[in-house]
Amino acid sequence: MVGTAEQINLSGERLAKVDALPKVTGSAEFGADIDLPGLLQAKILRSPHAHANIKFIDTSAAEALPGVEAVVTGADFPTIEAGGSAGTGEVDISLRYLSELVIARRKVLFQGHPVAAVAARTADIAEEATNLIKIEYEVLTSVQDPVEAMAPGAPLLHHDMLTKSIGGEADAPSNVALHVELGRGDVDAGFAASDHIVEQTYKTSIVHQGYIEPEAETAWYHSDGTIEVWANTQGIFDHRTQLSNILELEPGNILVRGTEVGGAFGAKAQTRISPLCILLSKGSGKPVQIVLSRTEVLTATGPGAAATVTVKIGATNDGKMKAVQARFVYGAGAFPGAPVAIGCLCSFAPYQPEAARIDGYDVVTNTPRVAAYRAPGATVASYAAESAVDEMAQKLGMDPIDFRLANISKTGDQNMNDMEFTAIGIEEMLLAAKAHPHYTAPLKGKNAGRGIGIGWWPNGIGVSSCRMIVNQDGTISLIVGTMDLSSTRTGFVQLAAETLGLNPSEVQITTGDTSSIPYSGTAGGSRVTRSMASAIYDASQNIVDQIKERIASKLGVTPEFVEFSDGEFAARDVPDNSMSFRDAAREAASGSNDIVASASNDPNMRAANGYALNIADVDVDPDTGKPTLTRFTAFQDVGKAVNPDAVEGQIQGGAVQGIGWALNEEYVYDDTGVLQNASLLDYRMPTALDLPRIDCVILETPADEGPYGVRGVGEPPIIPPAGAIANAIHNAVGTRMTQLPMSPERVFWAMRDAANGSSEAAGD
Amino acid sequence: MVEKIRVRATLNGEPVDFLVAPYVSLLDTLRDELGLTGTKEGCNDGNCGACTVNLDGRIVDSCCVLGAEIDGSAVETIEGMAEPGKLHPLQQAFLEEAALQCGICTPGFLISAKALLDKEPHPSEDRIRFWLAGNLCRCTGYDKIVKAVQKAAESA
Ligand code: FES
Ligand code: FES
Repeated sequence: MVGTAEQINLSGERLAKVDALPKVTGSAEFGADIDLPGLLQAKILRSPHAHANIKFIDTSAAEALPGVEAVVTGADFPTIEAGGSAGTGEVDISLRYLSELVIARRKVLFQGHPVAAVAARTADIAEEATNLIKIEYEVLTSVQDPVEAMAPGAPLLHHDMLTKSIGGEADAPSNVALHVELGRGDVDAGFAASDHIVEQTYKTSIVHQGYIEPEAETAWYHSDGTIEVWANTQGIFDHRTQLSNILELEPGNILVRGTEVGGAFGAKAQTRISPLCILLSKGSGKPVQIVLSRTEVLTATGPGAAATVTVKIGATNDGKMKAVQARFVYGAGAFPGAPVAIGCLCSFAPYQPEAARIDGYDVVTNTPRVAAYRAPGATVASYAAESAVDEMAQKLGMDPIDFRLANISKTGDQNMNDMEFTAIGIEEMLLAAKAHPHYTAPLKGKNAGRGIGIGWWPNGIGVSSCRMIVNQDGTISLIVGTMDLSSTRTGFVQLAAETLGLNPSEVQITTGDTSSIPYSGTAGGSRVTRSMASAIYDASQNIVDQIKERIASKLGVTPEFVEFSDGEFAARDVPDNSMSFRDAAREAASGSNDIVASASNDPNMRAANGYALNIADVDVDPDTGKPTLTRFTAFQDVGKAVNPDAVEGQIQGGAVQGIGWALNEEYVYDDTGVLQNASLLDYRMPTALDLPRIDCVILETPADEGPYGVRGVGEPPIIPPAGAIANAIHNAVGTRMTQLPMSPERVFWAMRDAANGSSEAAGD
Repeated sequence: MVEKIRVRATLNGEPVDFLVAPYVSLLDTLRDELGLTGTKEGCNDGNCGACTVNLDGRIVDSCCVLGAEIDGSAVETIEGMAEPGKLHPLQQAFLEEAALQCGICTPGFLISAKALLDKEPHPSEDRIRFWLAGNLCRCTGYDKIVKAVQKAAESA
């Protein structure tokens, strides 16, 4: 028998990544590296306006240009009726809106909204042809800020969009798609019973996931109606479903292959350009590729939502959080579906206020439709909540960790949505931080401060499938259906090898395509390792059982007397009669029978929540306002670190994205809704020079259920940095930064305002 | 149709002789004309470093150089970094130190780091961070990349 989860002694080795060799030699195949015979390149014509009606489109001159092979516009796409979800993972969109996001129909809703696409022999010809397409627009007033978009009289994006809420649907259309409410207890009584109250509004801008590899997809529509697609997608199966739904094609006719994905962070969970490639390929009879430019990526792919959050907390002198009230306004961009419900849920999940009332609004604006961005919705929620919590600790004269500890959520407590927290070690994480040398180390610098912040994330689960094949030499081929965004392949090899008692080098892993492996969900929600671990565990068990059948006679017993532990098959009660897995597998596979097992995890297995904490030290330049991070420690509970190198890499990468969000990154629009910083020069992501070392503290409170106790790792690290850094800046210079990013300019003016004795808060 | 230009250069130690249109970048020349797709495009305007190659001993963003400009020059790309059957110490260190995740930035970092170690075999951490500031990585937070370069420097 394969051991139970507890019996398997996962070594947590630092195994070199299985995908590393092709990546260090340049042979790994990414989206734009796909080449096919006769491959055409296509370019997208995009709206220069943020909001306009399309009066007419004339593509004749483009079609006449030599070298042009096909042109498509919205008129070539099926009309999708309202309703139906597209299944784009953590930030979902309806099918109709997905279709209209891929290509505009009567109206463009953001600068960069696709209106036509041209396939030609070369990218240059395609580009030239897009300039020959004539479009007449009727330009409309646009709105970029979600709070402004909520106001009466704001330009209306969708004339048929009625606000949904617990009470039903609104009577008149507005830009508010959804109003969510969460809460418990009597907040008014809670505030009345409080000795102290803090209240503040926080504002954040649109940010981008910032993956270095632009979207690149290729499609080949064959004359028999079958279609091949190559995409740098997070999920080949959901990609196929989206294609089949918005193009009204049979899913069985579409084969999707995933390429290596050069960063995604949630944004590559929805199809953007392969529907265009498919129709252009159908029109030309040749394979068609689209590779986005960086400008297109920044202007018109899914960024992370902008938000305005108002938080009010009441507490008694003894540090008890009596009441919390909060209002979250998230901008969804052109179509509804901002991650506001999850933001509301995550905001105060670490705490157990006696009463709470949280309202969230999903608001459409004339900006690109948001996509998931690593723990979507949680980062800004945590920034606001953790700033307010720190403010309250200060008012109470309590150590910020002690105040948090006094109100912390524990296993079995209820979250704001009445769900019970499964095993949660957030209290232990706070205690670990308090005991860490960083927390009490002397500060370095003249205007230095230290802050902490925590973040909670529910994590996802979904379905993951694998297939295991025993090769004739006794090694294992492992085929998985999930895309690898974070070294998951390496972890799977380790899990399989350790479960079966093989060396990792005896397990070869490949990522399947949509016709070679059962359905696996999209990689997102930090779900893949936990769900696939369960599938691999089951497949291994099945393989072991099959081998027992085959080798029993060799061991001189019947199969039920064959035992398997520590990588050895042995006949029960017969001393010195054992075989290693490798030998037994070789023996068993030497006949004509294939030993193969497929498995998927139980989709009903519960997700294991995740949480992270940061301690950040900053030094603020009094002349320029520039905050420099001088020390940074990231704590995270991962349940079980399957591969500590990969875990640290996720923590460090996520933390740095959070740091960029906190200090540098934002979309800047002019008042017509045209993006002013659509390049990596002006959309400033952190470089190696901007950062200190990111020290990691990995905690391991095993998750309930599922093998190995693993928790999702990928998303929690991005949540706490903004709050921790805001608190550090406050402790350094006494100003409360109420807007992200906390750029030198904003910090400078906040300090200046504070010195002039005006409000302590910046941006008031 | 513009007339193509004949270019003779040394690429990863081997002579090459090809025709390229005058407006095509070195990046596109490598990827599309010469079939070397290890050099990556992240921005096409000199701001990410994914396309870094070594041109006559200097690192350049190949998206900001024309293919026709390399006539008479020596270019090194990621494909030329390992010797047959033997990785360069930097490649080995990146592999062992898990200094990559998605890997799209990796060729650029390796080419940049190699140019640094060729000039300065034992750079400080600050020097490494300064040198690599022209290469963006969105996955790793740079920590393990810096450590890998330090390790390669020690092993040399
Ligand atoms: S592609 Fe050349 S610097 Fe980004
Ligand atoms: S490893 Fe993904 S950008 Fe560097």
